[in-house]
Amino acid sequence: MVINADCDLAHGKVDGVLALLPIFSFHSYLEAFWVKSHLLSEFSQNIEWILGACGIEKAEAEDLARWIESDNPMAIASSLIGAHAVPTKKHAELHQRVNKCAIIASSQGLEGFKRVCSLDPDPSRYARKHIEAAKGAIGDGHFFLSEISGQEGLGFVVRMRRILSIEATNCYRSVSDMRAHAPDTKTSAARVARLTPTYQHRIAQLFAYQFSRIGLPDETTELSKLAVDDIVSLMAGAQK
Amino acid sequence: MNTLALTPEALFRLSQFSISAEWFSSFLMPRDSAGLKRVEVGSVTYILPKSLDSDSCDLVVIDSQNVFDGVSDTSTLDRIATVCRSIYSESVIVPTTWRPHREGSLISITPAPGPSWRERLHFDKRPNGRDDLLVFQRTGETTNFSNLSLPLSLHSGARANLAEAILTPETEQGPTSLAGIVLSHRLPQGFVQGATLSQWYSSKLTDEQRQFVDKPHDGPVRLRGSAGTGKTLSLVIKALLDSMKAHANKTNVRYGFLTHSSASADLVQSISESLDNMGIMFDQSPHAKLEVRTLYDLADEQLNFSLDQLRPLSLDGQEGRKLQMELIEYSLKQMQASRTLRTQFKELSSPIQSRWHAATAGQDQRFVAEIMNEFASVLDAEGIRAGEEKGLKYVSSSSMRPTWLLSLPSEIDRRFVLEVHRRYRKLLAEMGTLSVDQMVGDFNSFLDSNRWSSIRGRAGYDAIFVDELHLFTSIERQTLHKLIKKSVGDDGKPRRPPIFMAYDIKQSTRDTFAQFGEDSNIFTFSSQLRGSDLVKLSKVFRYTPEIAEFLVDLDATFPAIDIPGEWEAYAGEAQLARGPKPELQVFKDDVTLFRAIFDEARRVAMATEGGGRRVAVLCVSPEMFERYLVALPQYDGKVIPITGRDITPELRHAGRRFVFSTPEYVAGLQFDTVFLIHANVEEAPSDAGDGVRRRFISDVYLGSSRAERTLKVSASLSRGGASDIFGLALERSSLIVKE
Repeated sequence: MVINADCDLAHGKVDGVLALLPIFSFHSYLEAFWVKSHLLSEFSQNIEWILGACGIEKAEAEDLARWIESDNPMAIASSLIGAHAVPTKKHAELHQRVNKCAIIASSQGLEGFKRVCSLDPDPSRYARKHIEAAKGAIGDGHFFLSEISGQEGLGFVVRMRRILSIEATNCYRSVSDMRAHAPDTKTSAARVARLTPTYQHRIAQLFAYQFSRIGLPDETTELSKLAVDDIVSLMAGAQK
Repeated sequence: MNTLALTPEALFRLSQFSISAEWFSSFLMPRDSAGLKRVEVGSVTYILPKSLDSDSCDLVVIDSQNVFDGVSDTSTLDRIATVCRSIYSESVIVPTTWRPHREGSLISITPAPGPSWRERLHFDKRPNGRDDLLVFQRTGETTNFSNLSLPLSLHSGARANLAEAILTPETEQGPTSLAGIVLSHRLPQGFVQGATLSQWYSSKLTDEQRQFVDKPHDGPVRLRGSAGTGKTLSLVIKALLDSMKAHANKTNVRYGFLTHSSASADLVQSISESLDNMGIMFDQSPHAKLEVRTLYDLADEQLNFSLDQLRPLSLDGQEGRKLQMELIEYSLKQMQASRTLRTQFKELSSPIQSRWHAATAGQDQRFVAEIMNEFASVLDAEGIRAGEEKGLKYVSSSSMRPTWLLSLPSEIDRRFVLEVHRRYRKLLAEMGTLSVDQMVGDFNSFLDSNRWSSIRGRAGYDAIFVDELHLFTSIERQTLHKLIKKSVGDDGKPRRPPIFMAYDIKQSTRDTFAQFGEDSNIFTFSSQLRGSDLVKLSKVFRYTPEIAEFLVDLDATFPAIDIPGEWEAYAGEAQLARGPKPELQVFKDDVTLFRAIFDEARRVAMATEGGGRRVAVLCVSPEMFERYLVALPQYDGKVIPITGRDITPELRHAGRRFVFSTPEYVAGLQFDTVFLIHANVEEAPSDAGDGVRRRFISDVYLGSSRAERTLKVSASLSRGGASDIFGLALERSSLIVKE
């Protein structure tokens, strides 16, 4: 997505390069920026649960993780059940969780997520829950576009954390123009769509915000927590 | 005297003398001073070759007042000689352990062995714009070179008076002229000087040795022989003769002589210098160059670890070994403390399981030592790591492990060892340390790089001579052929690498020669050393027939070992005059043994011709060696401890001090009398594995074969008394019991 002002483009005030923001398909976005941390957190939660069920301290999480990465999950679960006083009602779940960890450890990306979904009794519900959460947590610096006309698929994410650039002479008004004139040896670009004015303004606003944010010192934010605590204790007192 | 000035040649000759602390007060020379003369002009003492007739030579100027501290002067002089050698010839480089630092023409090194490397001695190799060497200013701490004041006037003064010094006849010296300096015919490491190279070749070498020396450079050649058969000497003679041939034919060649330890490199350098009448070792030939290096010198030269402030930790020095043991023990304890890991390794085979428990409780040091051997001989030597393909192969390998390695019968046992190894490496990495095996691994990869391919033609060697090949690990052996320049024969095919290797597997106190996997040949295919020619040496020159007889009986106790064609019965045929029979004495406890042996060693050192450097107390028990090291201050000034292979022993200046070490650290050296202590039952009980037994017998074999004339073995009753490996020797009376 080119972010230079239209008037600058019209008058060639771009110093020979266009500034642009990358757009990812939602699928690629999940693959690149979400699924790894999601699986890691799933893995840690499961490891923590298994350790808890076996009555082992959390400090041994790395030992268990390494074991799961290197051995058969069924055998690991059986060994843990055999060696520690795991309540019988938790046996089946322990097996499942060890298995889930083993799957996460042995697969990567969305393929790993797909395999984890398949372990749930309702894979579709599980997948929806987490993908919706991922979309909801997309956060500052991102903008979700439902569609781009002429492009296949639904759902695109504009990521504003990085600004890329490309030589203006290698940018063309249409794909056919690019095919006809672009040199093979250089990266070229062609316009495939244009934002409607509402989206233009919204993205310009978010973009400006992204690069004009000023963080506050930790002490200040700590004070705000104190203010919350203060009200909480007041309210709790009022209940009595 | 403020200034000492010498030509490099005079300094090299001087470094062959045995020098004591008194010499440094006035630098007097004995009458028979190997062609050197001492003259004083002004405040400068010159030591110059008598044959010198021109002042256009290079000059080494030492600001003696600010260089010699009265404590470690002999070591400092040796180091100055080495720096000088590294500048005026390519035969050696400054060892990494001296922490050399260079900026422009200035160099600094640690002036003497000791706990602090921050103490520095400074050199300028372009004083007043000349190719001389100015040695100046010793500082207690590292300092910016810009803060140093260069005493250039000392150099210009010494230069200005050089012509006068050359013309001045030798100063007549009084009866004190012998004070503090002796030139010995015997090198400190045992080699007897006197014969020239051509005399050696024509009349002193045996037919077998000559057969080896005459081998052409058309492929790898192995030289195998028991201890004392002259392997090192044959290699040195071959290297020198081949260099001289190349010089005579005006063929430009660069030969490398590789050793396993700094001590061996020092020995080879000394023998070479004493035989080299053409100055090959001093860069006098425009065509032939012979460089003596350890593999680590080469690795450091190419990879420049010092630039990254990395100090490789030698894991087979005493300090490194102790650290390694501690790290392994710590890892075992950590694992034992983890309930998860106890569950994971619940199915370990029962001996490993119980030994893990015992080692954690500090009751099975031998288990820790065996794991350490597994690391050195298999995991580190082969580059096997947990979580990598080689690691998976190691774990799942169903092939029979050689019996002399730690018995790891099931997959879970091997997984366990791999986990200990992973933790141990992590601890090393957290300490910011690079182990020597990691350094060699990097060097091996470097030799496969495009960078090395493009410089191989000039930085590689035309031929390599390797001493003590049995101490090189598998990865180290793989680097050898890559160091050779690539060349193509007349038939258009690449030539086989001319590598000349001397070895004796029985002298290997570790299993580093082992090749892990299904193939037990000591050379992998990738080493390109298979099918090499073999020359066997059988005549023993080092020790008496009595010691040879004892070694034959000891040899019979070696467990059989499955290395085809390499494990042959001892075949030494002693050539020396008869001597006393080796003795065995058992003491009631460790303290009595320590006192009795050290006192006797001191007495023998006083009485032996050649001094204490001809007497060694060698301990075969690593645990007791460490304990005795702590107790050594009682014998302060009477003992030289040698505690690692990277330590260049200053034997030349030993005086009446005797050597205390382990057989491994003195491999390659020889002594008149050896006290081999703590050959106890406890070290390798008869029910211990083949590996433990083999390594112990190798240690005893290596230690015993260091003795030329007298061998005294001892054991402590509190540690089970004398080992049963001496049974046959006692029955056959090649070893007699001393009450």
